[in-house]
Amino acid sequence: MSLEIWVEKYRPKTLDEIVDREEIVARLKEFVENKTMPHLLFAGPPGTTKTTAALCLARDMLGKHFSDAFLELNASDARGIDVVRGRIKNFAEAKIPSGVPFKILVLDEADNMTSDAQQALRRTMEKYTRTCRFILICNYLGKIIEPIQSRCALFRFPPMEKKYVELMLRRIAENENVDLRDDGLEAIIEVSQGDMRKAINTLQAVAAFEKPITYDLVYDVLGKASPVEVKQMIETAYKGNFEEARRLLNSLLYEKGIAPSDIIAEAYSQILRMDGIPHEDRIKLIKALGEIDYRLVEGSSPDIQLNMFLAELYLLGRKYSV
Amino acid sequence: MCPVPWTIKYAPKRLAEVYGNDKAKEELKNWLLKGLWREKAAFLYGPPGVGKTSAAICIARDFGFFLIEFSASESRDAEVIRKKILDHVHDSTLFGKRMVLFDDVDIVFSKFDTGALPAIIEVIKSKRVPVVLTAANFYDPKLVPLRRYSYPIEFKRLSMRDIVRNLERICRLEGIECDPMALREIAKRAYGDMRSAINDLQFIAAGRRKVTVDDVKALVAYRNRELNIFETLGRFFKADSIPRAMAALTNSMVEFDLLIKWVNENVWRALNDPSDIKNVYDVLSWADIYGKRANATQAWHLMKYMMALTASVPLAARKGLKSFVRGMTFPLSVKMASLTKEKRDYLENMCRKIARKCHLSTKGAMRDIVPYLKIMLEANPKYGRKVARSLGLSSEEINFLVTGRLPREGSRRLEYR
Repeated sequence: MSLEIWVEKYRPKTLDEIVDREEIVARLKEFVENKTMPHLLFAGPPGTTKTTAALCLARDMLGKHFSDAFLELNASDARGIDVVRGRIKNFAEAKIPSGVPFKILVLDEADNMTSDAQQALRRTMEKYTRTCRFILICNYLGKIIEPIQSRCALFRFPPMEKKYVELMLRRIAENENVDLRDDGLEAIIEVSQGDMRKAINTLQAVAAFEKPITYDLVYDVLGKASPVEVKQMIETAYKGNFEEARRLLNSLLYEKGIAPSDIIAEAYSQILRMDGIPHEDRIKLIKALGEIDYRLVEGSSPDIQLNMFLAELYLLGRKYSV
Repeated sequence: MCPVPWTIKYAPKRLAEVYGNDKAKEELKNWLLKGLWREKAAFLYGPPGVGKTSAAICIARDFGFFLIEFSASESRDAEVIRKKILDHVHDSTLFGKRMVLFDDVDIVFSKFDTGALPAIIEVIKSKRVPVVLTAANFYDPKLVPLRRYSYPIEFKRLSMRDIVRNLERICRLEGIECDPMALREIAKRAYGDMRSAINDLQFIAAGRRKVTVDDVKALVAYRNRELNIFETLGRFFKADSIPRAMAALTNSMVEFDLLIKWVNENVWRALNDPSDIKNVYDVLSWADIYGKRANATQAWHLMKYMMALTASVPLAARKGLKSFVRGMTFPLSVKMASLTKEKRDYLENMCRKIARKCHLSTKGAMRDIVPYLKIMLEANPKYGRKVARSLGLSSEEINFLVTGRLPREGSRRLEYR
């Protein structure tokens, strides 16, 4: 069955289909023409064509041998050193199938690998460089150890430019017979903030209503997605209802099953954006969030630490209402 | 000859004869006389042997009610309840006033007697008869449905003085010569439980005319009493020094780890001031950190900071904590962890499938695909299902996304085969 999820249905299959990222794509095409490439490192925020570019490059490079000479792994699910010594090494050291210059291994979310695993990976990359080329993909370059960075050609993927998101959304809308109004398009671009995946997912979710897509509909629908509850939780605590804020937190943690780190990440981006909170309070809240984030890394209990964050919010908010 | 248990022989006949708990007795009287019973049942709760059942029996007798009693030893099948009460209720005027007592409601529902709870609520809502309930704990999760129909009245452990006074009275009536120190020793070991004190006295006095401290020490073992979580937290919140708070925590049978979670879940209920809430959670979060640091480094001497910081919680609130707090709940992090682990595993398994199709990690699928899929399923079930199926989800999994309920055991096994 062909995939009905639009992020996959409309994912470019070849480098030619990628309409933006002109400079990057041009260089990747040179690799294909010359039938060679170094190890690559793609860095940038989510939804910026990194994985797509890697897949297209591999497909173009390997042609009909793609399925024999290509492996894709996601380091978030396979992050330990055993994966590097096992699956990655096995793939890298195996013989090159005839008809291709080398095999290609895409390692997505490589910044989620432990540093031990990265050290092991570094040796594997060196040792098997003749048989296998690596494309590492990450959100945060800083989390990739320097020896790996220095072994790769680095490509930075900034957030998507508005005109390309617009182009893609309009193309999909036309193809799917969706009545996408201008203000609806504007709203989707606004909420997705340069994240193509988010933009396309939002479009599809809103389109499911089978109504003309307007500004209001987009925000209405997104109100149902969970991160909005993080915002609600923050506002509730700040406006002085500690009990209700705790209830929202518990619902996020235990009913919706949102990871504490995702709650913190969302709280962070909300606090940067929320207008209702004065700057000096935002600074305190960012410090508090950073501290909690660090404590969670250390292994502290998320429920206790997040309660403390709510207590901080509650206290800061109350000084205005009293 | 089997002697009559003194607990029955010397049971109080009137409410005024029930020792201790004056406030609770007053509340119970008000509830009956001021007509509160028409709205809610009296829910008498507290540790064993402090006079809950006695108080109920006595007030019925004091005010001329015929008591229809359901104790844990008999069936409380919904049908039996309806038969025994609702029928009687109608000729209430004919046979005099009636009152209903459901003794130890918490014990019953753990076993069978399903349907008893709705039947009890039905009786309360009929507003025809006063209903008295007794249980160890008002906040028992099993009894949640009863709460809004209940007027809670707390019975506390009895004081040594009350117990000693009653033991003296019994000795006098039985003609036993008793060393006052012996009675104090019995009372001490009873720990506020009148029934066990009387039982101990009877047991020691059997075949003697005189009871000494040595007899008590030789014959009465300390009962293994669990300080339940509510008492523990009550004492803890009341503590005015770190050692006292520490004692409240360490005398509890509840594990320290769990206690911290209880405090985390409930301490805000005992606080009013925002800066107190902040201070308290700050201290608690540091306690948590030291617990984790000690674990991570195996440097167990660090545990003392965790303990001391936890014990500092009641003192971190400058305006103090309320010593008694209604509505305390079981820590969700513990409850939900076991409750939803199965659900989380199920969801994770589903996301793993999606992840493979969408070039994402499992977490990424949970974050980037599932929320949108849910919206589609809600807005446009037919379309949403089509999308979900194309991602490789089974109809059980799709139903889970829609309803949040796991497929029943049987059908899930089928899927594995």
